[in-house]
Amino acid sequence: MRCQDYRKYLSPYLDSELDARTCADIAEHLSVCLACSRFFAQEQEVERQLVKSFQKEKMPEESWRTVLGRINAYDSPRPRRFRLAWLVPAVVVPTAVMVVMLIFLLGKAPDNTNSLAEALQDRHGKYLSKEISIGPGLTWPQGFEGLTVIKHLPQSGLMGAHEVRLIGSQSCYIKDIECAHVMYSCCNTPVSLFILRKEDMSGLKSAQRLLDKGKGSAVVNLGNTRLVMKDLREVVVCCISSHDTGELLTAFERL
Amino acid sequence: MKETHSTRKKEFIELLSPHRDSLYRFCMHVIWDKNSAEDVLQEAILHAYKNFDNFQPGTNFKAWLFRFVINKIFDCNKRLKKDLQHVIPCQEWDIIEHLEKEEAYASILENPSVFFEKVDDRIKDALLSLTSTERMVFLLKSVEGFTYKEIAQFLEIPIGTVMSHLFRSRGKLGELLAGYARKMGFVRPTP
Ligand SMILES: [Zn+2]
Ligand SMILES: [Zn+2]
Repeated sequence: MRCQDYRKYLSPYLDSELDARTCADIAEHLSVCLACSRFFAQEQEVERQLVKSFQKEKMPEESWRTVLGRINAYDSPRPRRFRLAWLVPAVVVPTAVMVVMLIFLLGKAPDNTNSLAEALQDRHGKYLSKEISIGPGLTWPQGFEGLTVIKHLPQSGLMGAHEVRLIGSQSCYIKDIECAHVMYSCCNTPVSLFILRKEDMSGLKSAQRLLDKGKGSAVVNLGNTRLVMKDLREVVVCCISSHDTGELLTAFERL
Repeated sequence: MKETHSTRKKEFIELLSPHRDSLYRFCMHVIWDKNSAEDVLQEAILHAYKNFDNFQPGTNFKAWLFRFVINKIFDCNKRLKKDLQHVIPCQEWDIIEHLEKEEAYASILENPSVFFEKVDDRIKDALLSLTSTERMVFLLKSVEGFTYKEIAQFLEIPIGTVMSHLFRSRGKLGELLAGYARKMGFVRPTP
């Protein structure tokens, strides 16, 4: 490569955003090329000075006092409690139905499928009651980066007549298992999609049994909502909604 | 109940305090109108506090806070989100090459600290010449030190788009600095 080619990487190099290989290549060139090493050092110094001039500003005491004042004023018991209470019957009834159903289904005392479904439903309830703050951008657990496809689902054309919108995503813990919670709305109905690593699910024997029995998919009715689970080899996708999410899951499988 | 409330509050303020200047600067530089900036800042922090239960301990609190701020900025400026998606094709190299030919910029490179001392507060006006989009990306990366990936997540745009906004804003700033240098007579005669 010529000097010019190295200099093209100035920004990502100074931002430490290059892959190890390219970074090493550049560092090596800089160690032997005086002109480039001077150029990189000078550019870095200009940026440093520039940034310094923007970092001078401090938050005035008055603003900080206002911040503290507003936080203090917000201390009264949360109005959200009311909403939660309102949700209780919506959770208890389907849970009871589900427990009965599982006893029947498995012919023994329910173990963790119900608690998994319950935990998922609980989290879905938080999405419904807007208890989950959905910031801009999507976040999911480390190692789930490949999930960017989720973002493209609404535009994928795979959803037919369904109007799908991606609301947000967050990483969360369900039964101490780290998973990604993706919130969609399909035809104006909230949909929660949970992605769990298969390897993390070894403790959830009856969920596995249910999936095995259904050849990789299982449906659990939760009263108003339905939980559909699909085994996609490395991950298990669980979808909760009162809406028919069959097509969503099929589209997801194909992505 | 009272007890847990006040411990949570204390925890939040302890986590928030080290980032107060960053949050303030970011709002002021992106929004410019002092009153709106202050409003956005206050609202965003309160919103973050209301959602403090959703913060996962051990994760990046500064990034978590900035999400609320950026969200609020988007609420106030609906256009901004659209503009962010819009990529103006630009080759970073063209800008660098162009700047390299500028004598004025070369003089800055030769002696940055002297130049910045001279140009002083006028430098802040340079930021005004950038679009809100460019300003936002530049501040998030260069001033606040977020990674390309974090910025991409904040702004819901691909990393490539973050890079192109960033390169363009750096290029523009470079040109603006060169302009100041020329006006100030900072250009050294070429030997
Ligand atoms: Zn070189
Ligand atoms: Zn639909």
